[in-house]
Amino acid sequence: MICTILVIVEHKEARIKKVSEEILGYCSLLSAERGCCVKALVYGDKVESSVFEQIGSRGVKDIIFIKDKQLARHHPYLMVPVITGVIKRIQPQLVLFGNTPRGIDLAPRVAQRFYGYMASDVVGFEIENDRVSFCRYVYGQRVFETVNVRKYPVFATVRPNTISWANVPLEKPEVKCYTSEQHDLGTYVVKEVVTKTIKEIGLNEAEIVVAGGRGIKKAEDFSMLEDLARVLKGAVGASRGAVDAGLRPYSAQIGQTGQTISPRLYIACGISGAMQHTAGISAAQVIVAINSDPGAPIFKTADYCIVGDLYQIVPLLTREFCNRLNTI
Amino acid sequence: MKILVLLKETFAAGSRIVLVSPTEIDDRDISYSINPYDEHALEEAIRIKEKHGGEITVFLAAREQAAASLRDALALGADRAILLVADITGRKDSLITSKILVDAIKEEGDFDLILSGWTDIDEKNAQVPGRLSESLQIPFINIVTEIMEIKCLERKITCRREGDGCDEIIEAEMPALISVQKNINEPRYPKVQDILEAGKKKIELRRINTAEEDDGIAIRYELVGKKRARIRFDSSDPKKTARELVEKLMEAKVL
Repeated sequence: MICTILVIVEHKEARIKKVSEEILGYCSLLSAERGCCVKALVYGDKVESSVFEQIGSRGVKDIIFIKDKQLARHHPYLMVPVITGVIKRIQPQLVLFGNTPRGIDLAPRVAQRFYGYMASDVVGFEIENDRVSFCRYVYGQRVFETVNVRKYPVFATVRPNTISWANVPLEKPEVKCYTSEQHDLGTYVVKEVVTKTIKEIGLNEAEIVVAGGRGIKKAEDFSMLEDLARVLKGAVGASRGAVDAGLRPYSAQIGQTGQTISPRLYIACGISGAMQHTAGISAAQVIVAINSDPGAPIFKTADYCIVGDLYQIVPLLTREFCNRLNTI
Repeated sequence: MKILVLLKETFAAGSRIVLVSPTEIDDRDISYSINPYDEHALEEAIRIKEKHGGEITVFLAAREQAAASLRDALALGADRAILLVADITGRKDSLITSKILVDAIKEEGDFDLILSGWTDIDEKNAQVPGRLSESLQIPFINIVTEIMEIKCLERKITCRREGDGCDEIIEAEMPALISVQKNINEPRYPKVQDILEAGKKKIELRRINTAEEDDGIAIRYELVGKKRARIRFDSSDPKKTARELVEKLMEAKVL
């Protein structure tokens, strides 16, 4: 029987991460239908009360807050024991993380403490009487896998932009605050944190992505894509070809050996569309491809195909979107 | 330094996936290759050996036929290659793989560093290194983009890793487990001479017996057949094309 779901909530600068919002909202709908309860775990140092209100507005009122100065920045050896302790105390059957840099680092370690099964990067999950089922993509997104699990606790990381939730009744958050008794053992020391100077939306969290390939002649020309992305409030990515050519850093790479993303809209500019690239985008809702080569493989996996010069089309698209969306 | 590199086999890019049944993928026509992320791990191990000396052991938990993949590892500079063949007929997931590796590592004992890719290109679970580190109780630095320093006498390793919108510089005590990101290095190709030399090195094969228990997990597969619309725009008039595309996207409520 699934009685309790624990959601590990991530927050940054007084806002909970979008994937945490999605998980909380979806779980509160599930709890209304299936009769289980949902609890949220928040940890950190100074956490604004607005974070707790945002959790409440996604329908979840039971919040466990572990407050400790040491938890202000990411440290797996301080966070894993905290999460483990909470799981032992409240005994959830299902524990959910976002598939984010922190979730990816923490979830497998926590799962192993319980010898629990973990489903990575799920795009959906459902609860039935006695089991949880997860959906995810494997093999370059060519195979859809459904896993049914009957042994608990079970863990999962959830891909951003995939689970949907409708309006849920707002709840007044009830926060139980605890301190952590963790000690830094010194076996893993965070010497320095170097914040990236360009503050961009994470590729896997962006709802709209504009990406460039080898069709982009030089690195500076990516500013054309950055303009389009800005108007659409999206992120900029790149194919392996563009990254290998030094036009964009590896962190922007989308594809089999880069990131796998599920945006609502993906605009591929000057990307030929080799299978290793499309493996990273095939879960996108709508794909637009712009390429001067009419035989480019990307046209087989796109919804809208423009055979043309991206250097002409992209700025025109930017202007058109700008007019239609009334953005500056 | 005693270094262990963990390799995994993956479906080669472009393999045609066929389902035998909803619970089984037909792998007869599939060609396998070493997970690209693990190749970067092996390259990093070789660089560490070149700088600090020592011995590299490679583990590959895979099918019996995978021995061929280990030849390349030996040609590149691994000293020992061990193929772990488990007689699991059904599902092999991160829990089971971790158990096989933990047992094999405990048997070998005494590694200073264990390296692997942080994820793979087919199953994308990215769980084994994290699970291993918990079972082995050694510090684990995940998604490393640069190994900055190894102080052998002090038993400390300093790495740069990918954090959330930042880079983290981590110093861990050895023995440690490191999972690498693809951009940590450029793997070399084996020289013909090395390939010939590797032919003389032995690949150890170990059979693992795993008791198949009912762990309450059932998996079903479906081929993804998302049909794309493939609507073509003639761009002889780029302004018109741009306008029409935006119109279509607004109608489809994608924005």
